[in-house]
Amino acid sequence: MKKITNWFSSLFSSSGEENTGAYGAPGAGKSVLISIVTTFCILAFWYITTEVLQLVRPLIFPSPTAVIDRFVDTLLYGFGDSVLTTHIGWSMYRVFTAFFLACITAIPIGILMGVNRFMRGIFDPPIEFYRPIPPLAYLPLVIIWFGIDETAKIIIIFLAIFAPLVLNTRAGVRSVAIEQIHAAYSMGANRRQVLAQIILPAAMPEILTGMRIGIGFGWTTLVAAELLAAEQGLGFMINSAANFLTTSIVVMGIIVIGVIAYAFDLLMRYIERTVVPWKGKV
Amino acid sequence: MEKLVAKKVNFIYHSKGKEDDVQALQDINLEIEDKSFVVAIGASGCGKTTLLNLFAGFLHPTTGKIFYSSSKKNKKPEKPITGPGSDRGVVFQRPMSSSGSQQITGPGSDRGVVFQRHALLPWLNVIDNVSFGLKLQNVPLKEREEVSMDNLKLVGLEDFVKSKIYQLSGGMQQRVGIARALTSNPSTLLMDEPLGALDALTRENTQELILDIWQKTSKKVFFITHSVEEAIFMATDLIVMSPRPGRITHRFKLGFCSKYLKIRDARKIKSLPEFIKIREQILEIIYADEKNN
Repeated sequence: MKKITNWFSSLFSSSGEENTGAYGAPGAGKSVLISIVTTFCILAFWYITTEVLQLVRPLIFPSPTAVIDRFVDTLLYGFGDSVLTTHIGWSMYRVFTAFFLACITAIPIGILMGVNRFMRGIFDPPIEFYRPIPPLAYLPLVIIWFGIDETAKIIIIFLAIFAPLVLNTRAGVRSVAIEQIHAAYSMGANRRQVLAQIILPAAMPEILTGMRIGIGFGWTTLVAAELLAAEQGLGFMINSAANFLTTSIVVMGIIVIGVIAYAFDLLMRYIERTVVPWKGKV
Repeated sequence: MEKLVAKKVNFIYHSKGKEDDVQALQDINLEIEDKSFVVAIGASGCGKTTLLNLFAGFLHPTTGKIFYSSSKKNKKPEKPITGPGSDRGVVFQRPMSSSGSQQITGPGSDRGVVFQRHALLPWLNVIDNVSFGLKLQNVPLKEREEVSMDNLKLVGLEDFVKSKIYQLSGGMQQRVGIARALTSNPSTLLMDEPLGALDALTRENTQELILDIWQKTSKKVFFITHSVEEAIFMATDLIVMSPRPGRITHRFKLGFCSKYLKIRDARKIKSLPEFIKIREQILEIIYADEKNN
């Protein structure tokens, strides 16, 4: 029992060497090595169960080598009418177009909602109403209104990114310290200057968080969006492979989406560190 | 020479029900004369910060007025430097009446404010924070940096020009705040417990620094503190305020600050018998207020 409590308290310590015990800040220290080991263990477990011991049939879950084979195969000879890079390209085009459109609309609207009670009153009900509804539920409506071409797909992804980005931007605006605003006014700032030079930079950390959360929702919605009569795209690839019970392609597609989304998140974290280095320090 | 005046000022914080209205300030009459160092002290909730916010123009008095008054009637008071947009009355406005008094209707660069904390801009480095006010007024970069450098030297931070705000200690951050408030060359400095978050030693050093700056720049100062010792040490005019409703109950004319600027020994001044006597007197007033709550 003692051992278990010791182990539990060691979870809170910053690292093995520094003997801070359970009294340091919870979760301090680096976690990169632990993450790498975890990833390696998952891969090893996957390899051993499917390939070495063959406990699972390939239809239920394919082995890593089968997935890699599929990856190379799709890269070279394609799936459906297109090679893998084309599928990736189309999916990225859809997600990032939606992301871009969401950024140029949601961030200004979020700022307006933060600084103006009329705007908040106008935009709050529709956004809060549609936000919790799963995209698959309003997918039929989007098809009826916008058809089945690119517009509809991008709108579905756009809607998924839009709400969290608006809400984070608005929260960021509301979090600005009144002292900073007062300081600017007392130095002769006008409202426009307070907005551009105080409120906007002060809201930046939360806006970037909103972008990170938003793009995550975007990837989540991609497969749903590409259910719509798509001929290319990772979502399309996964959907049609599932129809033929080609599990290896399903798994390969999932991994590709995961890797792209994770790489983009790393990029966003890097941008966060360079753009808002003061985050959490003041 | 002009003075900053609060005349018959009442301030009421309105809430939903009429009976919940809070009279934050009642019948405040206060003159901040040129070159004076006015310190406000009092139990929490006595309206010190409300009064400062009224002087700064962040709030408007419910009744009464806050204005600049020029003692020489024939001489026109100088106009403050105002940035672009000062034509818009919402933000900043100092209409002049014929009697040579200018009512305060909003914040303006003639009154520099130093806050307790959280008022610096972490996305700018030290010198950009200090020169922020001049940038708002479209002052050219070179002039901006010269003025800011002078003020950073004044607070002893000339070696931290390019440092990030969040890398500085609390005391240094407050010195940046003071340098920033000085940069627009205001005639009045309004300081809302600027030393409240500092440790004892830093606090005493910064007290002396503020007195030095006050002497060098000969500005009028309105300073809020919770520390009785700090209040007596720094004030030329000390007002003691009482809560519910917030009002000025006692006024003292003091000279310990000018004595310090002559002999430059703060510890000696703070242990003078007359210093201790007045300290006990004021502590008694404040404790009585706290007990009555």
